[in-house]
Amino acid sequence: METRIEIKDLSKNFGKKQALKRIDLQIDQGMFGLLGPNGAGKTTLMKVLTTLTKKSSGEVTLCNIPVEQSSQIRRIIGYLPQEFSMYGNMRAYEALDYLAVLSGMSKQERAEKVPEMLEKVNLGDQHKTKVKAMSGGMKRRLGIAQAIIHDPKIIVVDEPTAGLDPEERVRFRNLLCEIAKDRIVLLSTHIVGDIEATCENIAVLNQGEILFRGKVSQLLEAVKGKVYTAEVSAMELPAIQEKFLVTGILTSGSSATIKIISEKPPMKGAGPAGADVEDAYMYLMHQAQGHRG
Amino acid sequence: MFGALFVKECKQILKSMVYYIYVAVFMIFLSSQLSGDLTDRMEKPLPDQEGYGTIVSHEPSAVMEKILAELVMETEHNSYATYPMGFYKGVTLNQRELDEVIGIIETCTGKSWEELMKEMAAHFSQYDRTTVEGAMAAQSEYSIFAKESLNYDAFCENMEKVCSIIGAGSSYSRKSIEGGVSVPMTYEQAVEEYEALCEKDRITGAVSRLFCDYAGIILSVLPIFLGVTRCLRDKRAQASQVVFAHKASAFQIIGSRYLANVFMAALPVVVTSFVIQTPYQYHSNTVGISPDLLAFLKYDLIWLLPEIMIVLAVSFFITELTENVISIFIQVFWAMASLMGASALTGDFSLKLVARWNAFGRTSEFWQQRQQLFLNRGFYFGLSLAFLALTALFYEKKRREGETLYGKLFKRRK
Amino acid sequence: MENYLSAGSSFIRRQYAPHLLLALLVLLMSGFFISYRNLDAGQAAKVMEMYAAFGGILLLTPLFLPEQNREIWLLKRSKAMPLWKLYLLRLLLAMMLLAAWVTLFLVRMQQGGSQFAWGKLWVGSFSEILFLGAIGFFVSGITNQVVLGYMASVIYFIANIGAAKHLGKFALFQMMKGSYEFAAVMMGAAAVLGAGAILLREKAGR
Repeated sequence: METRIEIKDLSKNFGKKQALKRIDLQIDQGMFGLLGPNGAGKTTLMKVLTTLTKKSSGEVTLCNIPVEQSSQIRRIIGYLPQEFSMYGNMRAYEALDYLAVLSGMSKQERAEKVPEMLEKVNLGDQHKTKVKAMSGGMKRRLGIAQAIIHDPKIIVVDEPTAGLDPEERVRFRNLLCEIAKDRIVLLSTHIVGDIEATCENIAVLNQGEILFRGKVSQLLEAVKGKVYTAEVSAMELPAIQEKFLVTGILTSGSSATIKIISEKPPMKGAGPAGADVEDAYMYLMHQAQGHRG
Repeated sequence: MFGALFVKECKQILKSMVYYIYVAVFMIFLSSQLSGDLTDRMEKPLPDQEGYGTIVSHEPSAVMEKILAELVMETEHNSYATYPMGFYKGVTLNQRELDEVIGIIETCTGKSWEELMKEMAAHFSQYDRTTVEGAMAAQSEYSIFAKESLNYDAFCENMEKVCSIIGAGSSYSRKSIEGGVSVPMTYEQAVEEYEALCEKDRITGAVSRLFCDYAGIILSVLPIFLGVTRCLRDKRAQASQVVFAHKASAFQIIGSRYLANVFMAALPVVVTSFVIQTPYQYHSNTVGISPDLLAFLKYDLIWLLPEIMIVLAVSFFITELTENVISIFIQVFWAMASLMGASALTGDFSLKLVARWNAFGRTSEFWQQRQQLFLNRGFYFGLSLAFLALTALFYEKKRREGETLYGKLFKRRK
Repeated sequence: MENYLSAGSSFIRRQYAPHLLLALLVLLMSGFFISYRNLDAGQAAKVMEMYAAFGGILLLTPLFLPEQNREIWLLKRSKAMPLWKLYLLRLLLAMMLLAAWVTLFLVRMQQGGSQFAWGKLWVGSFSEILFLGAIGFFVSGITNQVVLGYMASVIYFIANIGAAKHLGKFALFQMMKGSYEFAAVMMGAAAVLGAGAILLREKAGR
C-alpha cells in the first residue's frame, strides 16, 4: 500500500460560506506542514481527511482508499484534534488503554504498547495521573500517544504546539519528526517556527485556498533578494509600516532596526538581509491580500 | 473489541456518582415498600374466616352493583377519573351536567338521590375511615342495587349516556365495564386461589411479582439519569472528536455503552430481588411447598429488564440527538403519565411502560393475563433494540457530518 | 445595570432558550392531560402540585449550566462582575418566570370556571414549586453536574408520592389535602438552598 494522501479539487461549504475552495494537494511520506492564519480552513481540511466532516465535492484518497470509506480510513489514521481531552476521571494509562481498544487492539497488544507509548511521550512516571489533573502539555503528549499507538500510516495533528511552553514545544516537535520516519505526519499550525524546524514540505492555506505548496527552500526562494534591513528613527515607523511590509522591528532608544520586504531597495541606507521562513510567509500573505507598496 | 469496551464502560459506571445514587435510591425505595412480612398472606384459608379478599367478577348483577356504587361515589364528590389518552385526567361537571348524571342514577336505581345519599352515609358510618384499611374496606364493600326491571343492556345504554357527559376514558365506558369488577371472595374461591399460589407461583413467584410492581415504578425513572450522564460525558469531557476518529464502529461504541448501562442498572435489581425473596424460600419450605428457586430471576428478566432497556434506549436516543438533558423531562413525564394513567393497580398491562401488580398473589387472575404482559414486555424489548439501532445510526451520521439536529437549530444562532 | 441586562439576555439566548421552549410546550400541551374546568380548591391544588410543579425543576435547575465547563468558569471568575451577582440575577429571572408560570395556570383554571382562593393557592403553589426547583438548583450548584440536580428534584418529587408523611412541613402535595401552612417554611427553605448554592459554589474555589 502506497503511503500517500491525494486531494483533487476538494471543496467544502458550510451553508453559504466556502471553507475550502478547490484544493489540490498531494502529500507523501514524512512531515508535512499546513500553514495558515486562524480560520484559513486548516482544521476543516483535517476533518475531511479524518472522516469527521463530509466534503462537498472533489476527490480525496488516503493510501488509495477513498475518504468515503470511513471505516477503512479510520483504521489507517491517527488524529490529534486541536482540543484533545478525555474523561477527567480516567488515569493516563486507562485513557490510553481505552482509546487503544477503540482502535481495535487486542488485550495482548495493549499490554505491550500502552506502557511503551507512555514512555515514549514521557508520561511513564505519570501513568497514574488523572486526565483532569493534567497540564496542557501532558494532555497533548497523551494525545499524540493515542494517535500513534495503533501504528497508523497517517497521523493528523491539529495545532499540536498551541499552548505549550517553549521547552515542551521543542520536545514535541522532535517527537513528531521521529514518528514521521516511516509514515505521513500532517501537521497544521499558525506558528511559523514549528514548520521551519520540522517540515520539508509545506502548503500555505489562506481563506480556503492554497497559496503555496512545495518545499521550504522554494518558499524562501520567493523572497530571496527582497529582504532588506535598515536603521530608521522611531518617529518614521508608522509611515514606513504604512508603505512597506515590515516583518521585524527592534527598537533601541529613539531609533529602530527594521526588516522590510520589498521588490526593490526601499530607501537609502537599506542593505540586503537574510530571509527566514517567517519573512517568506509574510510576503506570501501580503501578496494574497493585494499589494500595498 | 466489544467485550473489552463493555468491561471498560462498566468500570466507568462504577466511578460515577450518579450510579451510586441510583443504587442507593433503588434499594431504599424497595426496602421501604417491601419491608413488611408477607407470610401471613400465605396461609391456607379457613372455612370460618371473616373475609378472603377480593376477586374479579363479570357477572352482570355484580357488575351493575359495583359500577353504580362507583358512579354514586364519584358523583357525590363531583370528580370523575378518566383516562382519555391513557393518562389520568380528573373531570368535574357543572351543575347542569351533574343533574343529568343524577337523573341517570335515579333511573337506574329507582331511588331518589337524597335516599341514596342517606344510604351511603349509613354504610360509611359503619367503618373506621381514619385508617387506610378501613377506608378501603368501606369503598370496596359499598354497592348499590339496580332496580329489578333494569336489564344489563339497558344498564349499559345508560352508562353510555354517562360517558357522553363525562367524556372519554371513564370507568363507565364499555371497555371498562367489560373488564369486570372486584367482589369479595368466597371460601371456595379462596381455597382455589391458595392452591394456585402454591402450585403456579410456588410462593416465591408471588413475592417476585410484588417486587416487580414496586421496582417497576422506580425503574421507569432512575435509568434515565444513567443514560443521559453517559451520553453527555463525551461532550463534557470534550472527547467526542477523539472517539469519533477511531476505528470502532458506531454499533460497537453505542452498543457497548448501552449494554454496560443495562447490565449495571440490572445488577442491583437482581441482587435486591434475590435478597428480598430469600426468607420466603425458607418459609415455603417450612410449610411444605417447594419454592420456585429461580422465580426472582425469571420475573426480573421478563418484567423489569425490558423496562430498563427501553428507558435507557430512549434516553440514549434523545440525548445523542439533542446533546441536552431534555430527555429527563420527556421521560419523567412518560413515567408519571404511565403510573398515574393506570386505571387498575393490578393487570391491564396493554402497552403501559410501568406494569403493575400491586397485590400479593391473585395468581389465577395473573396467569390469565400473563399473555398480555409478555406482549407488552416483548414490544418494549423490540422497541429498545430499534431505538438502539437508531441511536447508532444517528451517532454515525453525527460522526461523519460533525453536526446535530439540535446544533443546527440552536447553536448557529448567535 | 446595562451590563446585568446584557448578561441576562445572553444567558437566555445561549443556554436557557431550550428550557424555556420546553416549559412553553408543557404549558401548551397541558390541556391534553389535565382538566381546567369546574375544579374545586383541592382539584385546583392537584393541577398545581402534580403538573405545574415540573415548572420549578425545568426553570431553576439549569441556571449553573454556562459555567459547568471549568475553563469558562475560570474565565468568568476573572471578570469584573462577581459571579454571585450573575447567579443571583439568573435566579431572580427564573423566579420571575416561575411567578408568571403559576399565574398562567391559575388564570386558565379560573377561565374554566374553577373555584379556589386565588391568593392562597398562588402563594402556596409558588413556594412549593420554587422549593422543588431550589433543590435542583442547590444540588447542580454544589456538584457542578446538572444531571444530578435534576435527579435530586425528580427523586424528591417521587419520594413524596409514597413517603410524604415522613417529610413534615417539607412534604409536597399538602395543598391537595387542604393544608396551606407550609408556604413560609418552604419559601425559607428555598431561600436557604438558593443562597447556599451560590455561596458554596463561590467558596469551593476549586
